[in-house]
Amino acid sequence: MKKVAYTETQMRLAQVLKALGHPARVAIMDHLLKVNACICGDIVNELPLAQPTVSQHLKELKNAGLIQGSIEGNTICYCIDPQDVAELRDYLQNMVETLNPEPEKSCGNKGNIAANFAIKEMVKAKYSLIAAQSPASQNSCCAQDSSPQKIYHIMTDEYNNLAGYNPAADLQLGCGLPTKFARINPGDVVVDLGSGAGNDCFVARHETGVKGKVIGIDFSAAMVQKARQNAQQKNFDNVEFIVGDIEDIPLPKATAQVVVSNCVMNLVPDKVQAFREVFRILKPGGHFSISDIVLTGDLPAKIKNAAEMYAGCVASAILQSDYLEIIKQAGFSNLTIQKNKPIIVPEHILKDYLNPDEIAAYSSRETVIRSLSIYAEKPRD
Amino acid sequence: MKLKTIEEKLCCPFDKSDLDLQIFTLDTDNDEVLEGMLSCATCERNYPIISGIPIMTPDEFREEALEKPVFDKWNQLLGQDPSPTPQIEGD
Repeated sequence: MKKVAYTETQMRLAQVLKALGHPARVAIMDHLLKVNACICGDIVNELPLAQPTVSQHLKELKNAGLIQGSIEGNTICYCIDPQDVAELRDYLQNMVETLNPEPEKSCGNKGNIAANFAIKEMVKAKYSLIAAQSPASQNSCCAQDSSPQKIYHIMTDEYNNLAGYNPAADLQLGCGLPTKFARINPGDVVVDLGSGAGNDCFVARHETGVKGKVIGIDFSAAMVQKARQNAQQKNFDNVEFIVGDIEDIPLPKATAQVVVSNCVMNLVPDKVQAFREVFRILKPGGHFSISDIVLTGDLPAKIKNAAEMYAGCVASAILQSDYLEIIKQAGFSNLTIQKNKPIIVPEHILKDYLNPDEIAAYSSRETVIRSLSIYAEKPRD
Repeated sequence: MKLKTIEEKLCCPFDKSDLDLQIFTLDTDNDEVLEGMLSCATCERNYPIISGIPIMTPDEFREEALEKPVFDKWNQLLGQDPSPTPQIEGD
């Protein structure tokens, strides 16, 4: 490989993100965030890890600048380094804000490898963090809160009524009910892309029955561990999980009758490649049902910030017309929008970002943020 | 993951070639591979199975700390060095 000169900031950020790329370290950070104070003495009792392992992880976090204090010897006392965490926050925020819905920047531009890498690393870190959190304190893609006190799950549809629903697997990260519209038959092989803790997999498994199979793929190893535990608790031996990438799916062609995905495709940097992969793994005559957030028009930056606080997927959402075009280009037919739901950002969130006149102007227009459930088929030949 | 699923469904994410499976730990009650190594003869990548989960992310997103114990075990079993895990740092 060619030698590349990176800036100091790039090196630092890479180090910080890499330090977060392990569930144990995410768990330690999570604990520190939860207690929101310095920890003097033992954290071992709080974590399912041995002392030497914890010491090693603390060392990596300290080397990356995420925690400060003393982590060795008799005077162990450390806490989160607010300055470095703020730097990370600013970086991620800037990244999210820069990802705009202009098609030439957001539609599967494989040229921008560095940016794609950063997005994926961010997604992995973010969802590993969510997996480590308790269900009550989630900060998610499609149900993001602006502070630990405020939790919004308004974008998620009601799963409670669906057969096979497993509350332990519902991290409320979705934005639709793809499985409800997925037309799954008994005995089908179903693949869930971005399976999280397994929520849609368990609903799908109810439809496939014991003779079918559900395979969940997620980018975060921590999420997949959680999903596997949920499947084991239910004694489901035909729901299985893989840590993998939607742009390079480790399944052979013509594997599945049905592909589902809930509020995940918008997080994938190369959507063209992702839908090509969906097409490849489907059997001829198979279909997908995918829920996602799209935009139907321009979203001013200020509104986007407000919307992002309400629903994390909005920042990376692309135009509906581009999204549908990508699906058609991948070779799909009989494209149908099964559900099209407006996402209304509540006024109490808007008012943190806009003045009263701007709120009135925004509210008088039809919202351009939509949650879609999309169905399309792979032709038989 | 079930032995049957691994054999029938998994392929290399990059070149979609078939994978060779080496089992370290098999849960015989459930016919499930808890620990093992999947290898692609075409691109010479190795994908570990850890706690029953195949880790098949692209090179730059692999976690060395998570995978090292399985690779160490693999080295011991084979008595040789496997192709090194890809690294992002350095040059």
